[in-house]
Amino acid sequence: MEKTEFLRNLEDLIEANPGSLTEKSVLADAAGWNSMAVMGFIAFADEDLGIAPAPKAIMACRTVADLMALAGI
Amino acid sequence: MIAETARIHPRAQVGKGCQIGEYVVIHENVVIGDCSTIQDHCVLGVKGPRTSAPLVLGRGAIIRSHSVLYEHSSIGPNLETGHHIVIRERSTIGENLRIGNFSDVEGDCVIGDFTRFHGYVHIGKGSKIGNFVWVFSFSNAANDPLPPSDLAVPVTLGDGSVVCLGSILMPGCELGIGAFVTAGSRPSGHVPAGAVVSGAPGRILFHVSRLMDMETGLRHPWMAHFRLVYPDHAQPRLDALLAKIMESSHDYKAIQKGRNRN
Repeated sequence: MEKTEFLRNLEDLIEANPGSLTEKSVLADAAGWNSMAVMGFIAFADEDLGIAPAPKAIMACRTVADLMALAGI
Repeated sequence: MIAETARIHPRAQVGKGCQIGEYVVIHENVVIGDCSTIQDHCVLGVKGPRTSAPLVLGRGAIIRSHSVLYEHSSIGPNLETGHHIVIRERSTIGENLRIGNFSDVEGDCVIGDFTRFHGYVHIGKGSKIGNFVWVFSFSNAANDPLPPSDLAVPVTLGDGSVVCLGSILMPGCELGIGAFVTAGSRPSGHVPAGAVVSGAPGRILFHVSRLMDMETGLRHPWMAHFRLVYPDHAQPRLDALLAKIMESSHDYKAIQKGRNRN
């Protein structure tokens, strides 16, 4: 998956405006980044990326770039 | 034991071993099963619009103080209520409903077995609620799409579905079996079996088996790990329900994109 597509999926997941996220975006600053989003990210990672990141590893991510690294993007 | 201040109509039928508290009023058209407890200040068998049949309470009911139940409803065994609850007329309710303080069930409802409503829950007129459903406090099952009006479009809650704190089920909302509504959500329309719906307006996210406690890793559906609160004879039904929920699988993204939101 390309970075742009990943960002659009993440924006959809956390109900952020399209184009509002960048790799530098801090997850804690996004209103929609919460426990439901973490579970949604696990579903997305499994169904779209074929990986199974641990919840604690996701919660340890500070920025979108960290999430991308975790997802191997 | 019947308190001296209780007023029981001579034609009301009170089963064996019942305890009737102080200032209870039991009207004419009431049948109470054996071994039931009706606490102080309850009123049973109130007349409502177009009522004629009795209020029939199964055995072992525990109705806590200041509750009001109308006539023309049938309620299965082991009903347990909190204080100050209301159940209106023409409702059919299964075994072991538990309904928390200050909740109300409006008329014409059908409610299955082993369903749980916590406190301050409002179940709108005509709602159809399955077995093993959980509705948590301050949730509201609406039924009027254009209030105030006589348009009644009640909700349907499938077996094993869960409605978390402070949610509003919009008129006509249909939760599939095992669907899960997160706290403070406002779902509408059809929510597929096993789907998690969150937010206002409600947004379908993923299958309920994705829901987990981050610390412990405990996962939904809840009946896989929270079933000892039910009696032995309910366990095979929980097994069957769990299997059905786990079989339910949908393309949630496609459903979400195709949905109209209210």
